[in-house]
Amino acid sequence: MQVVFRRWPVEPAWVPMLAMVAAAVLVAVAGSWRARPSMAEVARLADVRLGGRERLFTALELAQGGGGLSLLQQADAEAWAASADPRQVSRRRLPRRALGIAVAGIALTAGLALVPNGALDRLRAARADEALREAGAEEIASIATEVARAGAGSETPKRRALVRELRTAEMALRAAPTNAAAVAALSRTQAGLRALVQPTGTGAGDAAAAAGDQLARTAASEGAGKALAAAGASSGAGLGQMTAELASAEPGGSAAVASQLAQAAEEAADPSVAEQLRKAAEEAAAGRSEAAQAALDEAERRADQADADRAAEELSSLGRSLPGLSAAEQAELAEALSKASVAAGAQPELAQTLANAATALAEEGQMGEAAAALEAAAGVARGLGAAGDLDTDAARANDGLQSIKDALLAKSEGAGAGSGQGCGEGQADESASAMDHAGRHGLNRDVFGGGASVQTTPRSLPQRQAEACPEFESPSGDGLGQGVTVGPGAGGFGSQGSGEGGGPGQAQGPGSGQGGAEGHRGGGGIGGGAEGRLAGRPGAPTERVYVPGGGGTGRSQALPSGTGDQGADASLVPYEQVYAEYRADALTQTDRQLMPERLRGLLRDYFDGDNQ
Amino acid sequence: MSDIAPLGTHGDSPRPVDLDNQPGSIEPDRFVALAAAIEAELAKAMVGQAELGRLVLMALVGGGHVLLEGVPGLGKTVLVRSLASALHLNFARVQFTPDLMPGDITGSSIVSEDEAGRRRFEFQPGPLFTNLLLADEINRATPKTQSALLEAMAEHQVTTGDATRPLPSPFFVLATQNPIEHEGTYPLPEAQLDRFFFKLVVPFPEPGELVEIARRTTGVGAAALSPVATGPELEAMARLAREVPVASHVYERAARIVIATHPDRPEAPEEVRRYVRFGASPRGMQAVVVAARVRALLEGRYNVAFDDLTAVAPPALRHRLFLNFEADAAGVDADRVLAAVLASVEAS
Repeated sequence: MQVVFRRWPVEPAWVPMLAMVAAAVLVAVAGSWRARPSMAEVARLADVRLGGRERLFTALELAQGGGGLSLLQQADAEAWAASADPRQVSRRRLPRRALGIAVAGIALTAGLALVPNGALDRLRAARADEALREAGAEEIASIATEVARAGAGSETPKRRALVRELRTAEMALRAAPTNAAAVAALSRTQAGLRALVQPTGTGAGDAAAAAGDQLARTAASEGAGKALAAAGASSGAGLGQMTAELASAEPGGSAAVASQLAQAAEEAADPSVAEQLRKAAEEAAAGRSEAAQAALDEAERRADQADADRAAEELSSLGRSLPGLSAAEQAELAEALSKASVAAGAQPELAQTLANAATALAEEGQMGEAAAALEAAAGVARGLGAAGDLDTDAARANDGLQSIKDALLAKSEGAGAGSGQGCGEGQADESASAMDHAGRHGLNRDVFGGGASVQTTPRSLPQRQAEACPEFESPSGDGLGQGVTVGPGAGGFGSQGSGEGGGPGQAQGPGSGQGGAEGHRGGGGIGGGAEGRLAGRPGAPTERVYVPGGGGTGRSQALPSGTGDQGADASLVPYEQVYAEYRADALTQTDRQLMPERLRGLLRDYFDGDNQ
Repeated sequence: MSDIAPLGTHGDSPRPVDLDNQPGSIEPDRFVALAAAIEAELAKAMVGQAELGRLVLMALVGGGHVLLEGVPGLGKTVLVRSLASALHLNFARVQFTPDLMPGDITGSSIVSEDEAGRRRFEFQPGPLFTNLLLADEINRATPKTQSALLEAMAEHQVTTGDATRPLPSPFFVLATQNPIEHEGTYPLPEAQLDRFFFKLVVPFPEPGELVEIARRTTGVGAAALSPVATGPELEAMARLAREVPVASHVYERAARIVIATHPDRPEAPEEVRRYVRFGASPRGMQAVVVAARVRALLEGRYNVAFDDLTAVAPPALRHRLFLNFEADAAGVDADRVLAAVLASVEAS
């Protein structure tokens, strides 16, 4: 059994063990029942073992009939049986061979039980991972339900898409065979959420506000413009400030926030907003910050929606008032709509509807189309409130997904240990690229290991660059730049890898220097965990890879001369000889599901760009 | 005693009997008491030889004849005479010699005159017409005379001329023979040997027993034996012994013992295959079972045990095994072969 458990682990093990014991007992009982001795055999055995001298067996045969001496014999047998000592039977020699086999079996089983069962440990780990993924899926389902509930009554396609993304993530998480696959699925979902939210995010609000400002400059559309600007600016932003204050309030300092909320409730024009603010004030005064936060969020959402509704109403009203406008006013309005359309470029739907309205208004006989276009713009404006909610919900969902991802990654960290190190060094205007490379390399380590790159000793490299390499910008290369980043990455699926990159760079006049970088490829994945094979590809600890400076910014310092020193190449192996292998390896790593999409794009761009 | 002689004609299976209603029946306790009394009387005249006396008594109760084998002077004749004295039985002794004729032991018809002066043949019974016959040195008689005993021993009757006359009941033949003196002897034929229930080998007395023999027999007095049992009581004992139950597997054990004495049987041990020419007959098995029954009763049991068979098998079978020349050459006797047989059966 122990041997089988090492091949096919089962937990809890006592269930099959108990079943085996029960089966063994059942077989033993059935076998004993089948092999039970007959009365004649018992009598013979007793005669032999107890010295009955065939009394019992003879009496058993005579029991079917007889007289005379038969009766005397039976009486004699009974008397003898009464005086016989059955303990003599039990004192017979033990079956040493069978006993030896049994003892050996028990000893072997006990010995095997003491030996750690790696398969069982893996099973437990897998079950823990599965439970973690299941909990994550439940959490996502809960988020999806909340998002769907929040959009009830004002459901938009994007909200439906958001819910659909979350449901897909939930199913993917349940179906994920490993934490790595789960993290990959969550990353895809996060990417989907970003794609979903970005078009109507802050940029959309700003676009609406800009369009509103353009419309407000014309008398005919002044009301609609102001309303649209207000909707774009999101009147709930003020409430957001109070939300932040409420969140950061000390345990005893929520009274001041409650007072502010009460005042805001008094000033609120929308009754439903006022109601939620009053509720938030009451909750804050009572010290229930979470309930107050929820009420405040709801108030903010309703305020945004009220602004959006008002803007939509004003646009609709503008459409209805078109026939009453003079030709000059119509031309002026068409011009304003056209400018507003341009200003709303970040909100394509709004821009399109405004452009349609402007075009229709500029042409004769298209008054109806212009009104219809304005009505469509009103619909888009109405969605701005919902868009704000969507942003909030999406952000909340994203936070939830990220926390689940963090939990999955943290769970994986404990499974192994490894270390990696990378550093870059460059000179000239490309010097920052060394840092870039270092950061990337560290980032790679992060990706490979799934851990987080943490800048520990930032000198000149902005922290933002160290943490998020995709945001590297082109090197300014103006003057002398020097920066070092060291980013140990920790964590990984089965391998706790740590990456460290350092890249001092020197920059001077544009194009006048030569860049060089030296990176020590980390020996990632020297993990002691069972899942070490999932660690980063074990690299030769002494392998050196040359990477050209590709980007990044260092702190620049102007030099008096336009020429800089020749970059010192401390490499041992020419870059060209290893680049192909390095590129292939890096692109192979990008195929891993674990790597977030944005990092894949970063690496692909890097290798497919001018750096080749 | 008609149920004794025809071994093989009577079944061995126990027949339920009502001891209280049987004519001349006795209780088991009385059986044991009579046997003990007979043995006690024998002990008065016999020094040692208790086992021999017990076996002779078993043969008598079993209704069989006994062949006593031993060198001269071991008390064979004394044993038989003492037995006759302890029992209310007629006793006759015949010293077998080469010139002994059959008619000398069976009797013959002689011409006699009656009171009216008429002459006629009248049968004059021989020494066979007794209850206890001592056939001393039986191997000295010719085969013709030895064969005259066949009918008497087997069927308890004597046929002379055209008349068949029954022998008194009970009828026992106790024959003796000297194993070392072969000059002028006629070894008993197989058929004759098979008629004997037991063949007992009289052992030489132990030193202490010799002293006691000297003390008892060299003085002026002689032990006076009293009869303690009658012929009918002996017959009742025989009937009771045949009622002792025998379990089926005990019968099977007895059969296996006999079968194992046959060299052509797979159950036969190596000694049998090597030294035995012919094995025991079914009459041998009958003797074993009957003797075992008697032994069980004598030991106060009412069933036959395996060890009863083991104890009686040598005297009941040793004269029924016919050894080959190789056994003679190797000095192997029947007792050694039987020991191997019993060990083989015990182990199976």
